[in-house]
Amino acid sequence: MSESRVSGLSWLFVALALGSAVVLFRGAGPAAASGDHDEAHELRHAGNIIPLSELMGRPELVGQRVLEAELEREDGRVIYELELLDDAGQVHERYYDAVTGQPLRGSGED
Amino acid sequence: MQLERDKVLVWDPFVRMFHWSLVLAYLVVWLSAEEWGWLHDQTGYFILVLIGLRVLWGLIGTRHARFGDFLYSPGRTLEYLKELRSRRPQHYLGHNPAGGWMVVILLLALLATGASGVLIGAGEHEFWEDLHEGLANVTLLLVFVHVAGVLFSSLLHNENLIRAMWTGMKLRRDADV
Repeated sequence: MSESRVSGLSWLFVALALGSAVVLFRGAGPAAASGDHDEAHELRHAGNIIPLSELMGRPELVGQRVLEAELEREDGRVIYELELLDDAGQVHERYYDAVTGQPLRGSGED
Repeated sequence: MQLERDKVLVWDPFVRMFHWSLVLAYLVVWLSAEEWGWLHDQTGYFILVLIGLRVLWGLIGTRHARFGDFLYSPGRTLEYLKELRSRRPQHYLGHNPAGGWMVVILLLALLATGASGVLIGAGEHEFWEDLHEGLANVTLLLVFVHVAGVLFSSLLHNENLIRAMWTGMKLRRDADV
């Protein structure tokens, strides 16, 4: 390939990178992106999340102290991320689906 | 004295755009790591796209953008590091052997960090999150090494490599590789 064709390709790659940026950052922010399918999905579920107090009624959580509780969005799901202190003084992290209240894999395996 | 005609275009538009977009995206991805999930995720995907394009460009791109131009054998790389110790290293128009390996290691570290981040949502949440954080710290360390290397090399050869990555132009020297 000639050097000039290769440098033309360089601009094509610039355009591909910019195009991907436009696709990825379109809507600029969760609030403005409500037209987006994923976001709509998330927000619909966000209205259905169970309260933390209800989650803490789960048998394995009774008597544990919550050091930190975060509500996070991951791949269209809303997740409770809990940092807990048990009776033995051990710190655990547990993850729950905030809609169903079901524990997620990766929970409590430390 | 260097003449104007010795000024050559070393870094093509995509290489430069890739480099500075990555710098910007890297800043955003760090600053958004704790609080703003959407921005962090999208910027992470953008970095993965950039890396994919750069790897492809490393195979088919302009002369100094290609891996074949700047990947040297471990033997030659060690020799270059010894030259550095003597403060009289060979001058390279493109990446020097140490810089070339730095590029590859940074790309791999960013790829691993990004992949582990994507996998956080795929189950084994805590495992991938810990790995993602660990890899992010390794990557930050590598960025510091990279910047230190660039500054060191710039001083050693009395040339501004940061400006060269912005304009794409470098001054060719007689004994250049």
